[in-house]
Amino acid sequence: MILEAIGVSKSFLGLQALSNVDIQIAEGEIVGLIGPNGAGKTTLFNVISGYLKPTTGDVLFAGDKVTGTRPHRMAHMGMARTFQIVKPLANMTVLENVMVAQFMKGGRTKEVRELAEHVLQQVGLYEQRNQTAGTLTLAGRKRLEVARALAIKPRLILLDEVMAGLNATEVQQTIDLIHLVHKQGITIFIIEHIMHVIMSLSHRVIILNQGEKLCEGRPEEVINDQRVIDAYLGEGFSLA
Amino acid sequence: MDGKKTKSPKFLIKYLVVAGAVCFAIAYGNTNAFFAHNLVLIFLYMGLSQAWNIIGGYAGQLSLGHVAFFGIGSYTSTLLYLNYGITPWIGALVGAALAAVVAYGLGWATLRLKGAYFTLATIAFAEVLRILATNFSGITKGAQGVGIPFRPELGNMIFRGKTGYVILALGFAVIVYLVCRYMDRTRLGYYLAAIREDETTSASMGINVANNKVLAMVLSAVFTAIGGTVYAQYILFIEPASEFSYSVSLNMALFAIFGGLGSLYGPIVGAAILIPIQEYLRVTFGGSLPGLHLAMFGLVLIITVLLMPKGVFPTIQGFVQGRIARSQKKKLRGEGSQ
Repeated sequence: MILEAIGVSKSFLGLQALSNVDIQIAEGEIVGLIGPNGAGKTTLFNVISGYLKPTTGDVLFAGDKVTGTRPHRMAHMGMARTFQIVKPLANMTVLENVMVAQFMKGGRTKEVRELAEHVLQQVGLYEQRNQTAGTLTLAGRKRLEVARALAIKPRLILLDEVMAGLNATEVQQTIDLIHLVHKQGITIFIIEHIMHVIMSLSHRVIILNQGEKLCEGRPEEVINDQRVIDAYLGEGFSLA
Repeated sequence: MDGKKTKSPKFLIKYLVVAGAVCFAIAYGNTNAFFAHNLVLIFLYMGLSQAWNIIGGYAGQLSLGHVAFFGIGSYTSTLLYLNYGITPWIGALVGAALAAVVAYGLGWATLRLKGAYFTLATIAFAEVLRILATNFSGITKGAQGVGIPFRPELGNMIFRGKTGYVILALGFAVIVYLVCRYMDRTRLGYYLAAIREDETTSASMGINVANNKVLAMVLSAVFTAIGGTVYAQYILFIEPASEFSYSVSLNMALFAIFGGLGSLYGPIVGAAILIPIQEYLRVTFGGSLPGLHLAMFGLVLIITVLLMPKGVFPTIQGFVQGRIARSQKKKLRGEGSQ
């Protein structure tokens, strides 16, 4: 298992954001995480990546207990993440953004720049490399989040709604990009609201509702589960 | 932060022109004491402001208490020299080490403070040191200050005439510049800029935000303290009111912000422009109506900041780059039509 959450709970001043969540993700999987707003999806990501300490429970990364390990340590261990609310280093150029991430892997500035340029070519941002990150479109900023995550050569990427707000073409491009990332042997854990994206990408889907794991399973199983329909999808849901 | 390395003759010419201008200025300063005094202050503040820029510009932590390190540097080297006969060349390094330890503590203590709260904490810290220096009169001679006897000799870091000090201050500025240039082009520079932009994102890229911020504070303090020693050796008199004066902190920050915050040439441009204006106004109008020269200096600042909000150097750089880009485009269009 590359990632395990065992009985993870998190409460904020009495508000139970996560209660007793168990998750297992195997190396090489693409796992979707869905659920209504406020279900605790991003909170779970924050606990896993070290931005929040769980109230109780443990997080295991590649078999090691990493509960409460600080975010920069998690990055060094091979866990990358993107942010739902994109956080570019707005006054630095696109290339510099990725170089900062690339520096984690060491090397001289010249090598770091070349490797970062390579990552930008992969994600299709190479042409915009000398623009400041703040001038990118939303789609561009989301791509930059992925580029930065890729640059640290992670074993696992947590993608937090990288498609929200994108148009149909951009969504398709992002799906292709995720497939490309996956082909490099990187495990993917993805939060997404667009159901057909989750259906086409994920090997397995986990549904979170009011801080609890409602159920999990293969995508086609999950969308026919009455509990999921009641809590999230709604009656009469179809992908078309 | 651009790493374009163009080792062309043009590049060499740029250095030769700068070196030539500096040599000429030093030679002229030899005959004109007021000019030489300006040069000492310009070079000293180029170094000080550059040092401030590490934490204030690159890492984006607006300190207005850097005079604390300046004072630590000047008091340490002076007291070591007077009480134990240790040359200020060594004293400067001891002061730098002491400032590093203090900056390490201050860095960790103020780590969680953001924006104005960080700034207030640094101001308070410098004030505390000023009061301590005033009241621990057994060690510091308190408010009456300490005079350094005039024994001109290289080993004492004391010079006859101003030219020696011009070269001393220039050497200080060059060292700080080279360190900052190296930092600007390597990992630390990128990391500090990333921390300035967004600490959460920085952590996700494996940056230890706390350690890097404290490191920036320590580096910045080390060079500020050395600048303090240089100043003490130039004035040959130290007292709490001037060695821990708020206006030193303010000038360090001001020159960097005026020239271009977080840019390598910002502090250099800022000091080179503002010191002569400050000194000229002080000498010309300081005697006529009290405060007039400060009011005029303020006016110059307000106008410049309104015209160039990003700082003088980035604005000029942007203008020149824009001109070059336009002329290249024109050239390309010209070739296309043929």
